Amino acid sequence: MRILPQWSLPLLKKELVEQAVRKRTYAIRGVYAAALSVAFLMFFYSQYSSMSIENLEILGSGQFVFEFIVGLQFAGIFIFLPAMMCGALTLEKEHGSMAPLILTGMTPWQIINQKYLGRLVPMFSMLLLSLPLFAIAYAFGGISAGYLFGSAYLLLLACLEVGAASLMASAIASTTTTAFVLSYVLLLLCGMPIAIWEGSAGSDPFFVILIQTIPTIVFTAAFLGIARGCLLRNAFPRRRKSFLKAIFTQIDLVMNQANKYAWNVLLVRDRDTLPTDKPIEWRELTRKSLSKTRYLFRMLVAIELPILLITAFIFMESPFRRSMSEAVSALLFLLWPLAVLIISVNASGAFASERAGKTLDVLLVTPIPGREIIRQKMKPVWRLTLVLVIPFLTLFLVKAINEYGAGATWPTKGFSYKDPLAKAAEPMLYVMVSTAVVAIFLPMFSYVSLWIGLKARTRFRAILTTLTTIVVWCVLPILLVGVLTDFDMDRGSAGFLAVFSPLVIIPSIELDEFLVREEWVFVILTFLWHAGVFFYFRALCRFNADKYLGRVPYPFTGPRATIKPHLDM
Amino acid sequence: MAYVEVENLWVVYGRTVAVRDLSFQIPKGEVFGFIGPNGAGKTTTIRVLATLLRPAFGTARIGDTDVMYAAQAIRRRIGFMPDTFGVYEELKVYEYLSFFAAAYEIEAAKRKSVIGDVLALTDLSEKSDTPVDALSRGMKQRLGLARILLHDPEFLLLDEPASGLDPRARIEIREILKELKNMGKTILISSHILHELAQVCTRIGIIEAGRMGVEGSLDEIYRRLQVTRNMDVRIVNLTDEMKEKIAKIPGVSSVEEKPDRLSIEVKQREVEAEDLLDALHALGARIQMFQPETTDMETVFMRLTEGKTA
Repeated sequence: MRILPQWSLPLLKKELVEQAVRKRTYAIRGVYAAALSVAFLMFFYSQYSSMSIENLEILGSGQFVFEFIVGLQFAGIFIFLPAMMCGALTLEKEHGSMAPLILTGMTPWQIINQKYLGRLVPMFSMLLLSLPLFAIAYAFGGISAGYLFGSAYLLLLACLEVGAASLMASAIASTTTTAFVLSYVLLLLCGMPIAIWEGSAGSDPFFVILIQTIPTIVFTAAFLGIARGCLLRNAFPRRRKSFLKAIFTQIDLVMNQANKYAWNVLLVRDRDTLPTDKPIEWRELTRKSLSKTRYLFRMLVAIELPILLITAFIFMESPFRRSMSEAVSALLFLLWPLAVLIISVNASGAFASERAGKTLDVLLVTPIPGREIIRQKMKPVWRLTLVLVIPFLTLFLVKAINEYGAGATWPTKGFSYKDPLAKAAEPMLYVMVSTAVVAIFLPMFSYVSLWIGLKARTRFRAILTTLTTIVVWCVLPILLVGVLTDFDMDRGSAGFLAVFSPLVIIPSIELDEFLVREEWVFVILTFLWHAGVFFYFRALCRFNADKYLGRVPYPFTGPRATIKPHLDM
Repeated sequence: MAYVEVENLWVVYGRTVAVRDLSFQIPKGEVFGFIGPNGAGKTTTIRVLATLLRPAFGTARIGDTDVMYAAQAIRRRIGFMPDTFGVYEELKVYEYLSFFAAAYEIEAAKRKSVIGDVLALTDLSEKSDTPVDALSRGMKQRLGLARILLHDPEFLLLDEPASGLDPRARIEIREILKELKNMGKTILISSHILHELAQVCTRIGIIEAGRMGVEGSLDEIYRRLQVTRNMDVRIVNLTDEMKEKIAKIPGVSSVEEKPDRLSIEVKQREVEAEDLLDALHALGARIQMFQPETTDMETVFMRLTEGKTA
């Protein structure tokens, strides 16, 4: 080590030791192994449950299993690696340890490479978990050596590319939250290894795959090069506030310039007010850029205007008009994740940002009750929710009006359209049910996010946990329905589980025409479950506000400890 | 009668005992200096008194009110300044104080005069329209003091108020503390800048590894520990006989002859510098140089602590 100091790799060692002592590393690895094994067993069961072991049909069928495992591994790389890699450099910046790191004898390339390797090693260890499964698949036959090596090579390459893209995001961004979002956006550039793998389907020779992957290698090298370039340039980023302020100042400039052509109409004027009796609410609504009325109005315009333009275009162009409902549904499918993302990020970050800014303690020693602090703090989230409800309502109404107009062309639905009221019944019902979904789901997501944010120590952890929870919550019941159906459970009974996923009812309303199929039990149960979740988390946040915020609850009714702690007496 | 009473306090984080069986009292109007190495349990104790932490065992009372059972009443009675605290940087100084005046439910009609008073006390009147993020660290610290004075609390909890400040800012903070002391506020202050504590505090408590080592007034502690102090003296007509006579002066512990001076060790608070000087003159010594070392709380601190954490 002493003879060749450049090979001592101190940063890599530190990264690996840090990860080795964290319980989270093993928890993630355990979850990954469990998910992989369960998925494999499910697939295996669905493929081979009907075959006997003596059946020759089973021979050569290993390729299906193999493809399934490789597909899972690609999914694992795309889901886990950005989250693992995005904090590699931003955490150093956030903890103020970037300067000492740069001042060591290490070159920027050494820092980049060791950080890169340090985060890739755990991912490789997760990929290795599938080796026994590959062995089983290989034992069934039907996999050529070239396909095996080609797939392993493409998995490795996907790791390198996704890792490099996320590291670049980490070098560019000043906070882990920004790096996290940017990493997942950059995944759009990293799909080539999967495309090659799917395209080759085991038939292409290895050298062909090698040649096809040259652009991926170039991309990976470019990502690392950019990360190297940004390492020093962005090592000491401007404070987030200044960055946001700069953005909003620029928006103001553009808007004021544009307003000259609109007769200088001023809808909302900023006023210099002072807090009256709700100081937190006052600060949230009048002093934070994102909560100010004029910015919310701009956000509304930015979302609502394209929606209105698209729907107006489709409405006017008769060839597209027939597919109006499908277009509106497509817009709703885009709007839902956007709305949930915006609300969740805001609600989960509400208190995490106070903790990060070290402003929470001084707030907690004031006599404002905990639930009142939460109520006032959530005010901008409700405003934001209201703004986001408007595009939803617009789309619901557009679809309802279109269906009302087109109702006569769908006599098969069994409605009598002679009576205008009867004709309007279904569109009205659609608007009512859809509005109820929005009215229940958006507050529910905000309270779940708030609860997670109250428990999380950092903003990044709050947002990451919230988004992961929402994704798992949406997907898990659907997966369970699939598993139970595969295990020959009655489809109706298994389908009952879909009630627990917020993801099912929306496409069901939009595409399944459930109103025609009269699946009211499903709708009512879904509403009841999600309304229950909303009220539960709302009560949890309100009644435990002081405890979650980190102060002695009032009124405190617990008993006083009468026995001294037994620890180290 | 003690205004603040902490009895047998235990605070546990998981398997770590941060504070163990801590007891102390602060009489009304006293300034209590809380001293200890990093990780000794000072901040934890202060957080218990500030209603931010529940003890595992023991009681803490402020003005006969139990901190744990009447947190809301305590919050109206205390002013807490944490060791590091953020400020709402999008606000101006006046807006920041208005925010907390509203949070402390000060009547709207009185707020202007209250804010004016605390700005004057902390010498920030000219900065009332300045954005908070444009203030220097020292000014932010003074703004923190202004904030905790808004609701005229009886008891102030100051966790390292002068840490990280330059000498001028430290002196300014010290002057404000003296002013608050004169106003009759009861203050608990933790600090590492020991000689400054010595100037402000009427009592000190030295805590290490979650336990209270010594507690009392500065004089009591010096006396109890028999802290010594060195006086460097250069005597032109020094003889062996005179050296022996100096060693016999009451309160002198030892006399050591160094190449260019005589180092006389005296017991702190038994012999003052001027007394020793008089005694030396009485012995006929012709003094060329007389240099008492500064009183050192550092000596007390180092003697009582070993740098152990809880």
